[in-house]
Amino acid sequence: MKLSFSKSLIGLGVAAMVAGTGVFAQENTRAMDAEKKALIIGEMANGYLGFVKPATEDQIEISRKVNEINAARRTEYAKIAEKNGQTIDAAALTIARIQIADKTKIGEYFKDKTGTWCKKSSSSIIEAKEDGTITILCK
Amino acid sequence: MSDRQKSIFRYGAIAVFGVSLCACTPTVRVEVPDKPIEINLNINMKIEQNVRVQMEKDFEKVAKENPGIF
Repeated sequence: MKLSFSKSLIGLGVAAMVAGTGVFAQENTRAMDAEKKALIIGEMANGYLGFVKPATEDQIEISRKVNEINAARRTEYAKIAEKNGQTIDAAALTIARIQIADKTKIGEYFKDKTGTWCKKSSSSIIEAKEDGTITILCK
Repeated sequence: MSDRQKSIFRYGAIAVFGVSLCACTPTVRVEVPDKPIEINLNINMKIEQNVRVQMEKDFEKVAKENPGIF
């Protein structure tokens, strides 16, 4: 009994470490991390990156990068969509929910399904229901 | 005014109108260079639960393979 308790403690420790590195890796590999933190761009409910306010002239480089990433995303959405017999939009929406629910931090911007930009808050509704509806709302 | 004069006048008016339309065209031209992909979402789109879960799994793999774009 004692042995299994210490084993489970070790298990917990390992699990915590794995979870910890997971979060760390995610933060570091997020696309356009700095611009998201700076509230210049955000994830949109259509699965692509967008400017919260229209890009200014000194943001042309960021704009180019955003377009490049969005084009690459579209290619990946198309592959996932085809594999699952879905439209590209359906794949994009599915992934947008994950991007906004899991990878967007409270206080960062996202564009909801109604086309509204807002800062993510605890009252934002980002969920997938059993009936097949996906909700991405600022609130 | 004779019929001939009337029809000349009519065609003349049409021609002037056409030319003025052409002259206006460049000023209403909308320039959309290099714009991000904008897709109008179907708000009521439904995705079967098991299909969604499978797409999410596929995405996990894709995100790992393409860390720079997600």
